[in-house]
Formats: sequence, structure tokens, C-alpha cells
Amino acid sequence: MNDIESRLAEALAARAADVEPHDQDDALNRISERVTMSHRRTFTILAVAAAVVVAAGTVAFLSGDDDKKQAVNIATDSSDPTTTASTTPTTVVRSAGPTPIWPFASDQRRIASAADAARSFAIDYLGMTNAVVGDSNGLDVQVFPNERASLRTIVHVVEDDTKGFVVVGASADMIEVDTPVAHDPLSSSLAVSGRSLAFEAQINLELRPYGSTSPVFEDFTMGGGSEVLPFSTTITPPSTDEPLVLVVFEGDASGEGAMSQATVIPLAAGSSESTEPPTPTTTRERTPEEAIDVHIRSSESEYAGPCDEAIENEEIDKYCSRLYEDRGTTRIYSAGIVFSEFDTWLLLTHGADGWTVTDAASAGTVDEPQPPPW
Amino acid sequence: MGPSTTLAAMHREHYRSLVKLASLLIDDRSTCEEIVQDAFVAVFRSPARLRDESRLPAYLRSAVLNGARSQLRKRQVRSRLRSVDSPVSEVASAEAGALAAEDQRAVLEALRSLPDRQRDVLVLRFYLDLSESEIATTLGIGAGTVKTHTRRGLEALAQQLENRR
Repeated sequence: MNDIESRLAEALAARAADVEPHDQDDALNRISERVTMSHRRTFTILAVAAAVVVAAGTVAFLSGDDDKKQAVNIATDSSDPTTTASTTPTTVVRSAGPTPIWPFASDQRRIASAADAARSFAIDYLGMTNAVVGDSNGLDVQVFPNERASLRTIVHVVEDDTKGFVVVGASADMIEVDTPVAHDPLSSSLAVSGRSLAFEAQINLELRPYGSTSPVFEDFTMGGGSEVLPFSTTITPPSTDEPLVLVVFEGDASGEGAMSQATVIPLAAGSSESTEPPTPTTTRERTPEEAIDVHIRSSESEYAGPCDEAIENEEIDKYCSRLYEDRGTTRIYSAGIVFSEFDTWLLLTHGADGWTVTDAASAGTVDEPQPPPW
Repeated sequence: MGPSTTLAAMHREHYRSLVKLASLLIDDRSTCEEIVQDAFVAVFRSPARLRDESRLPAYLRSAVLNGARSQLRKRQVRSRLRSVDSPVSEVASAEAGALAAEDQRAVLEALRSLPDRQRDVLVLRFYLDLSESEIATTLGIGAGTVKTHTRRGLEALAQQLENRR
């Protein structure tokens, strides 16, 4: 170590030695509270979503054809229907309305608890052979693929008078599916979109009949591999009059099980083909700026817009972007903190809904800049 | 180990050292603690980051450096950057060590005026004693870049201290 290195090391050590945190226990409490609040918000949304799914399914069932009716009890026990941010069990949802995904109708057993339903669903339906059940919020039960993993799937359970606790869906933290939503009807062309983060960016799609773990359709698409990124694909389900279950999942790279996380969505049987001519869509296409804004916000940062229009002092911690190359249906933008060197390349692709950020890459540093990899 | 257990364990093991790390870049201890708490919250509410516990220390260090950098940038932009000559209650001021303390303050002041990457690399190298590959992982840059920033940072530091004489 030369003189300047020694002086630097001594100065750093001396400064650090003179600083002690105030109250570490208090700090841990504050951190835990903020982390818990964040998770509670997610849980509350999921609990409400699960209740809405069941309610929507019930309405769909009641308005369905007589020959599709099943013997079910429909009653939502709302004696304590709170949806506030609370760790205590909230909405008690009784009855499955539509056919439960798990256990299968042919299964005569009665599952005694939400945790048991979630565990057997994870192991036997999702193929998470070493699944570990975590905390639950009401009837939303956390499942992890093994005891070491933090990757979480929330299994949505409802209580059925005859079968005990049954599973009606699941949501993985890192596989958010926007379309389809639960009980959307199957069609000859099914758009599947959302945001995901998975090993090597690949997420898999399966359509399964009720009462089976064998898919009748398999495909895959690409989302984010190092950060949450949008995915979008259109699949062609097999022609069937039966409802199916959509399973969007990340394969278990460790080889311990079949999946490490999964979002599971029940889909209704396809509606009869309309004889009406298609209505022209009036949906406005997403602009490149809007696509970049969505992408930046998904990484919990703020987007200021084009770098040339950024306002000094007011947008100092936000990201801005600049068009680097226009290739027609794809564009490359550079992005970085306002008034700093850009550090990220963004690849935008034009699709049916307009522009979407389909990939991102490091732009390197000032000393070692990296060209866009596309 | 569940997320809450991990948080407690990581806090116990790293909170104090991260506050000290932040204090090398920011002169106000309360702000340092806020930066470190923000870093824990950011890391532990992101399931993606919790997927690999072995990388959590690097994520936390990176988040602290980013937080400190953001603070410094705000202060610079608002022209309210306080030098280490401003009151820093924790800095030793004992008369016997006055000379050494003066040199240390000068070194810290020069360090804080370096470009972001050079400053971060020097702190990780000469305070945390991280290897080049560990620094590269923490900052998300190549090992070669770490070497370059280290060399240039030390040269700039030496030049600044020379100019002060």
C-alpha cells in the first residue's frame, strides 16, 4: 500500500470508527414495519381480487345455461368483511361458485385447512415437490418452491361446504398476468400479457382441462430476465367446449420440481361465435414515451421524459431517455438519470397495442461504454 | 430461512457497517441512517432480490451507495453541499490527534469531490476491503472497469491533496 492508499484507508477507518447508529433495534422495527406495510398492500389487493374473482364467477354461473349448473352453495359470509390493511384473516369466502381447480372433482377427500389445500395444490398440481407453505392472510396462502427460496406464489383458497378448502387460482409475485382475467371465455385466439421476471426471461404457458395436470396446450414466451419486464403473446387454444385452466409459470431451474412460481387462472368455456362484424378498435396505441415510462416505473424509478426536455433542479433524480436508433418497428433508446451519463439501453418493439419495452441492457460506463446488443 | 428471519439476520450483521459506509460519503449521521433504512426496505420488499440470499449484502451495499449518491447529487444541485469542514460531531477532534485528523478530513473532502464511480470504488476497496470482483458485483460493472476507476481515483485524490498544500 503506497502513501495515498494508506492515508485514504486511515481516513476512512477513522471516520467510520467515530460513527455509531443511534438505536439499531428501533431501526429494525422501522424497516420491518415499512416492509410489512408494502407486503400488506399486496396482500390486501390479492384478497380483494380473490373475492372479486369468486363473486364474478358466481354471477357468471348464475347467468349461465341451466344445463351447466352444478350443485353448489352460494353464500358469501360477510359477517366480518374487512378489507383494511390487517394481518388478521379478512374476508371469509364460502363456496367455490365455479368448479374449483383443486382438488379435482373426482377427489373425494375433504381438505381441512387453507394451508393444506395450498400445500397439496403446490405439490400435486404445480409440481413443486418441495413446496413450503408460508404465512397466510385469510384464505390467501403463501407458497415457496422450497425452504431456501423467497420466490412466492400466493394460492387463492375458498371454503366449500362439501369439499372443505379448495383452490380457485394462484398469483406469482413475479408473473403478473393482465390478460386474460379469471373466467374470461376461451377464444380461438387468446392474448396473454403482463409482466414477469424469470430465469433466462422464459415463462411457460399451459392450458389444462379441469381435473387434470396434463396440458392440452403448451407454449412459452419471454419477459424479463434480470428485471420485471412486459410480456405479450397470443396463443391458439385447442377447440373445446370445456373450460380450461391457464397456468403461466417459471420452470424450476434447480431441477427439484417442475415449477418455481406460477400464476393460475381459470378460464370459462368459449362463447358462441358472434355473427356481428368485428367492431373497429378505437384503443389508442401506446407511444414510445409511455412505454418507457411504464418500464421505468416498474423499477420503482420516475421518468422525466426526453432528456432534452428535462428541467434542471426539478427532475434531478428521475430518468430521461433519448432516441438512439429508429428501425421502423423497433427502436433503441438510451436512458439514464437526468443530467448524468446514460447507463441503459432500451429496446422498444411496436405491436398491436403500440410500443413496448421488450428488452433492456447495460450501456456500460464512460470508460467502457457498451453498444446496444441488438 | 423466511424473509422476516432473513431481514433480522441481515440487519444484525450489516446495519451498523452500512451506516458507517454511508458516513464516509455523507456527513450527517441521521441521513446516513435513513439511507441505510431505505436500502433495507428497497431490497426486502423486492421478491426478485430475495431470490438469492447470498447476493443480499451486495444489493444492500449497492443500494446504500446509490442512496448516498442521490443525496450528494441533490446537495450539489442545490449548492448546499457541506464540506467535511462543517460541523461533524462524530469526527475526532482531540488536540493530540489534530494533525492526523486534519489530514483525514482533507482526504475525505477530496474523496467526496471525486466522480461517483471513482469515489464508490475507492470506498469499497479501501474501507470494506472488497476484492475487484466483489466491487464489480456490487456496482454492476466489469472487473476491468473497477481497476480503471481505482487507478484514476487514486491519481485524482493524490492530485487534489497535492494542490491543497
